Amino acid sequence: MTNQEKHKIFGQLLESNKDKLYRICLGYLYEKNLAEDCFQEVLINIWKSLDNFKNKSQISTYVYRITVNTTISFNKKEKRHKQITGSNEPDFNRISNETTELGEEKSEKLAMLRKAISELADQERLIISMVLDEISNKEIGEIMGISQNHIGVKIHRIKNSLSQKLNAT
Amino acid sequence: MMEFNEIQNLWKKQGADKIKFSQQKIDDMINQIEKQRKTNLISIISATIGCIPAMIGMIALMFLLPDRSFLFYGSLIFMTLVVAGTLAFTWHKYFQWGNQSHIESSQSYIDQTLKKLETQKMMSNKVMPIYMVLLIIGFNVYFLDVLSDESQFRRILSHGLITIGMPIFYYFISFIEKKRQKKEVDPLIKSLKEWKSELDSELDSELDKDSSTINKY
Repeated sequence: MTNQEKHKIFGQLLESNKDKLYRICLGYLYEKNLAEDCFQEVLINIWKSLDNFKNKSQISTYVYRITVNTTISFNKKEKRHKQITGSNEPDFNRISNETTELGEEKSEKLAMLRKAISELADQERLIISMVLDEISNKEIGEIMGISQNHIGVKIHRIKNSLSQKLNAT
Repeated sequence: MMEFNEIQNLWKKQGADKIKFSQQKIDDMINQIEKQRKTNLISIISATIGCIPAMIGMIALMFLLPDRSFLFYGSLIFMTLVVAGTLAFTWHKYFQWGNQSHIESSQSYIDQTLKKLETQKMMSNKVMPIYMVLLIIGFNVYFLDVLSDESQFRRILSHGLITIGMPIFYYFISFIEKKRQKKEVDPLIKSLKEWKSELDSELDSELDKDSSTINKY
């Protein structure tokens, strides 16, 4: 693959997937600054892995895999939550301009949602980020290496747990 | 109470366009990666160009000086092998650049990454000290032959410098490496093991379910 072709494919991939990829990082790390750093690492890994894409899977599954795997490894920097916020509790209202763009009520709900997701287990946070972005159970199973049936059961449990957390707040 | 659709719509309001990530920044990032890759290639080629004459020189010495002791030939062969091994390892690492496990499923990515990290740790904590000891022995054996006609003071000085200097150098290198391991590698291994046990327990429960279904019939 020539450099020009790589640039073209990379640009197209980014254009159509960047929001989903960013939200996977954000769902797992639940802090904007960390999610931005992770997103950058994801882009680097996508670029480095482009030569290895062999059309065996959908290109979207391919980039989601890279994103999920990069995000899993990014966990080593989990302690940075403390360094950035000065406490163990991240500020879920930190995303700027959100209130002006979404309005007070929606912005508050989004902060609640982020907080509820942050209370889920590591694997659950990643899975729910993909579910919320309407990635199919089959694709999530392929990305994680878990059977489709099992993912279905797991998603059902995570959705219940998320609803309970949201209702409790 | 929020409906799931509402949650989904709300979630999707968060986009990458909200972050300060321009096309220019992405292009700069890619250029930097490619530049770094080229720099790596140039340094490996330079190291190869530098090492190959040294290896040829060592092999030539063995043929040009036929009446030397076994120590002389043994140490030269050992050092040639060390240089060749280091070069091969460096090229191998370079060609692994794009060959990443990121494209596998998380299950297999975690297995491969754990294996890679544990091998790296084993190499640096167990293999490197042995490599260092062998290198010190190799140099000392070489000096035993080459410096046999020198004064006792020069011989003791040469042996002493190698035997004390190299471990001190190694101590500092390994100190930095251990610090890095403690800060980056160990927490990553711990976190990946947690992930692995979670994914493995899910696979086990799937197998249990399958076997209980089979037992029913």
